[in-house]
Amino acid sequence: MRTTAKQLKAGGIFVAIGAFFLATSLSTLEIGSTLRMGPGFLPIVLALVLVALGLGVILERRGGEDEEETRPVPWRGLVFITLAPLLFALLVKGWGLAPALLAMVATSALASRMMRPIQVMIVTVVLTALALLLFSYLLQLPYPLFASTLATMAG
Amino acid sequence: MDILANLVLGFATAVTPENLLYCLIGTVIGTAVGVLPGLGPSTTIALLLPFTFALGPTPALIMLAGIYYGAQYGGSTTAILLNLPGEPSSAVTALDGYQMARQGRAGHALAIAAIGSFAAGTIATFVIVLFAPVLTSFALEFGPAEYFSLIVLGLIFSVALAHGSVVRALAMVVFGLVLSLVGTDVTSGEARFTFGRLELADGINFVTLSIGFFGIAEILRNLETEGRAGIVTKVIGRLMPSRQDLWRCVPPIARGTALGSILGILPGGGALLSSFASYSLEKKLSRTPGAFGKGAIEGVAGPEAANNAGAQTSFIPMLTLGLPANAVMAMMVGAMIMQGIVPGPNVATAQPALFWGLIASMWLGNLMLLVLNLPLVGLWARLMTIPYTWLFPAILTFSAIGIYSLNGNVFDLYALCIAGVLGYVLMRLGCEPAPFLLGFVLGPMLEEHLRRAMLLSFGNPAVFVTRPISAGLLLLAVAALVAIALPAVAKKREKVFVE
Repeated sequence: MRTTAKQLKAGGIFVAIGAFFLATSLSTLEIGSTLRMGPGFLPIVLALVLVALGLGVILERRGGEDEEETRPVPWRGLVFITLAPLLFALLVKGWGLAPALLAMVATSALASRMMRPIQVMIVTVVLTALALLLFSYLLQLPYPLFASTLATMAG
Repeated sequence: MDILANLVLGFATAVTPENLLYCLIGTVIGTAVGVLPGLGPSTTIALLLPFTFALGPTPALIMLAGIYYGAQYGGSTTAILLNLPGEPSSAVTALDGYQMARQGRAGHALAIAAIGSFAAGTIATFVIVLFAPVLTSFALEFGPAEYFSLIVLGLIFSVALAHGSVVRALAMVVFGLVLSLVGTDVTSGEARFTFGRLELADGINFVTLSIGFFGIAEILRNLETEGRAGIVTKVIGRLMPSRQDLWRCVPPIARGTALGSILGILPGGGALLSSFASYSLEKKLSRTPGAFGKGAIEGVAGPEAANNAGAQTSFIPMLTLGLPANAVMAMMVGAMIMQGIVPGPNVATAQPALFWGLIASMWLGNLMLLVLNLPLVGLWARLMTIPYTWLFPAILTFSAIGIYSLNGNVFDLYALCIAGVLGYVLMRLGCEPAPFLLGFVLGPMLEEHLRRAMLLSFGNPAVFVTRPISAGLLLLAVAALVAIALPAVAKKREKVFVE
């Protein structure tokens, strides 16, 4: 029986992560002895185990029940779902909570292939309003709705 | 303190208006997310973690617990009406429950599921009351070596009882352990793997990882299969089953409760394994095994009782040993740590009101669920028609704001995106997030106990096998590993999850 692509990828990820942590701990952390363990002791041991398990994932024989993934990768979703919190992060300090929320909800709504433009707009407006009501009004989170209101109050 | 005094304290804590309110909120949210396809208790609890900060530890934990067992109730509703298990643990309920719904007996199936769950929840609460103090006093005798071995055993067991590849699950555990070491080393004060980022000095944020792995990754996973919807059974029919049907369901409920209570205590078991085990047991014991899969009421009653009992008793190792049995319990441990409570056997003695209040609230919560669920089932069923296109932007908004409100730090939002994508890629490759989270939560404890054990034994690692309790625990862990490696067991294990 041969190794499937899935096994190779999964195992590869673990080997890479393990190797990365192993290299970092070996170069920056002290191992110490078993009596007085340095900060590097457990990281080195665990990183080695992780590399070994990664190889194990690649070599493991599974009785044919590990079928290859047939579901398509939602590329569109991946792009928009990761973009949305990033936009929020970029806007919340400089522009305020309301614009940041609006941008985030709109971007995330675009992640679905099933949504027509008009639906995206409705979802965006309704969810942003609900979120502002919940977080700003009910939960009283201490972030200004618009950054400029803070600026005018200060100036 | 005897059991009665403990119970009085527990109920006195649980019936304060504040705690009652959060118990109700928790069970309502739990039922709702159990019903909503694509949103489960782990995701919800992860999403709500940042907002529990403001509450005291007791109401926070009562609410989170309510979400967990509430979702077991809600999950069966979708399984019966839609053939779509809202939760993995109600997958078995769908087998016979959906068939009953198609025969116009949806009401009976829903009612017996709720009754079975309530009976099991009540009994399981008493199991906790009886067993928790025993385990606590036992665990108080543990030294660091025993604790280290116990954590290893817990992690291995959670892997052995999880479904899918054992090697992958183990790798996920170790990956979680490794990531938990990021940040300042408590003993030496040295920064580990922070790469000069101040934001990493306190370690990777547990909440960020939970939301990334359970919230964001789940959204991506669900976007894969967009546009496939089930058909809702509109007719619910009469609710109360006939007296004859009820009578027939007593033994399955009793057996399911017993199975669930035992399996729930084991790490990694909890609700999921219990319901599968109960279904195969009922099928085996039945005089008419052919009726199973065609709408046998016993096939709904047993597994539903089992998954609720399992959900309840999985609190036992978390409360008494600080050892989470599944991802939800890992998040409860995380919530405790955020509230400044050190999980472990000391919780029962240092925080008796929290400990017994939480347990008492579970029984009250089950009562609320019974009252909430049966008359309102039509309302809950309508929740299922909320399209996922509305849900996932809301989930994402909740995630981002929750994370941002923790520290007011945008770095956490970047970390969220990375965790989400990584979690999704790993999930696609057949690596489940639950073992990862267990490893991440237990990592710091593991290192601390290892260090202390080594100091006490003057650096001699033999201490783990020369102390009898520690040796016994490790032996069990090895036995579990060997057992799953055996081909015969491996085959049987696959079969249990396929059925």
